[in-house]
Amino acid sequence: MIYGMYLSATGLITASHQQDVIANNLANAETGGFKRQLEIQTQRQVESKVAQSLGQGNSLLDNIGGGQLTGPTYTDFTAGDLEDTANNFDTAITGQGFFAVKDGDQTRLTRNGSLMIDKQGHLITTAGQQVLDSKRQPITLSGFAQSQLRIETDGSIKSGRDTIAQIGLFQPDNPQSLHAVGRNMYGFGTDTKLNPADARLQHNMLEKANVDPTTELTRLMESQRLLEANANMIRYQDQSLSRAVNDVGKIS
Amino acid sequence: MAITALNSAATGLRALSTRIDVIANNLANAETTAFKSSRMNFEDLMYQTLKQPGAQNAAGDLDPAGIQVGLGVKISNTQLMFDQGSLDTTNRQLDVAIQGNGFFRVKVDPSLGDGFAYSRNGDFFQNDQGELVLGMGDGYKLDPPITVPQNATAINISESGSVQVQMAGQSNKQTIGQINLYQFVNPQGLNNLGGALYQQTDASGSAIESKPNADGAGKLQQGFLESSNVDPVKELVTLIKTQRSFELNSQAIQTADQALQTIGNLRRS
Repeated sequence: MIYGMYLSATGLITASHQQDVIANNLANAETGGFKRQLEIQTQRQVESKVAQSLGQGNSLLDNIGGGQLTGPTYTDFTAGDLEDTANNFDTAITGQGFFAVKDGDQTRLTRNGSLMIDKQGHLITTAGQQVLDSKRQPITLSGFAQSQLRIETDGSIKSGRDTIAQIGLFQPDNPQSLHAVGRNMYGFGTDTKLNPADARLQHNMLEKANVDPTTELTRLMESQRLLEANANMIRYQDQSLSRAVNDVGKIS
Repeated sequence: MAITALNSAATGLRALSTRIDVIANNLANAETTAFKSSRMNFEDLMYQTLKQPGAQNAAGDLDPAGIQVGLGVKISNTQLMFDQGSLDTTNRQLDVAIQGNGFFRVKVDPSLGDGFAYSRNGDFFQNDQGELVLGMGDGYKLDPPITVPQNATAINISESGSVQVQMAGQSNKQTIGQINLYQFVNPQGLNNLGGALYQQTDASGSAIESKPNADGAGKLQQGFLESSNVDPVKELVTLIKTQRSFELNSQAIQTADQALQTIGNLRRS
């Protein structure tokens, strides 16, 4: 009987975790280039299997499952809506791919294409990281004002007919291996291979977050009820336990 | 746990309400000469990693993805949008609009930064000495200074910035000075002083002087004023979206609160 209480507790914990993820999605509903996250629940193995004591304990319990675990966080990389802006250095990626940016001595990926030129002439994101070109080197545009430059759909930065630089667009072989590091960026491990992306750039456009309020709120309600149901299950089992402990065997 | 959701949603409320402040200021300045709208950029906060991607599970397999919970949102920056405002005809000879890039330079109080400020507001007046000054604030003088002689009957400012006057009783025009424009490598890094005045910072780089209509600087248009570049439709759409996002975040707070309440009521005597 107590075993069941723990199973209900796992359900309660995962439902609460689901709310955390949804709250973060909703908080970032206006963050440019943000990709919503989905938490996945996985079935937990029977406790006796986890403890490698199958068949040694209560054989009835071996067959009823072990509750729930939080699975890997899945990032939904579908494109967000594009919003047109008046700034010619606002760039949105259409198709799958990322800008590579330099964050300290690390290379990170981002879909936030709100770009500008810093005073050294480097092309940077508004979050302050240098944008890298197709050879993963910082892009220098010194001597040019933003209005003299044009970002083409293939990622080249042109002044008149001259190509000044080429913005690099990359796609990791497995996007799910990326981990979010905040500030609109994703980090990747050493085993992740970056391939040139088959994507286009659109200037005067910004990609919004791909958070859909309807989906998020529906899932929020669902996880809320799931949490309550599990809490009720805990309470019922506690009541039964109370009966067993306090009433059965009571000598009147 | 639910506390994380509560905090994440709170960061959303805070950031979004600041955005409403920025939009309110943009809309309030929809009729301000040479006003440049600001845009708020957001970024996601750090992530709590409950399990690293690539961790090994009990069976010896590598997990393809980890478990991460984001902790909300924060304001990345407010970005000045320097796109051109439309030019309004005024036919006043001391109204000058910049069509293209660049700023006028004025001398401000020496205690303010390096003593200079930059403006695109070309609503000039003459002070008691005949010097050209800005119409707003404390009558900041244009720099380099231009003094209009007392008996001048007409002032002519050319596209390339040379200032000529017609003197009473003379047929020839006389050149009395040159209005220069100043550009920045990164104008978005300028410090907004208010009153359409901007000051250079380490982020903007130093001002680059050039004649109007040369070196990428815009040309001057006498008899025009640049109006505000606020697009009310865009601002209102953003305001509506912000308002709705705000409500959604408050829903997340309520849900997290209810979850905490449910958990708090678990043990009933």
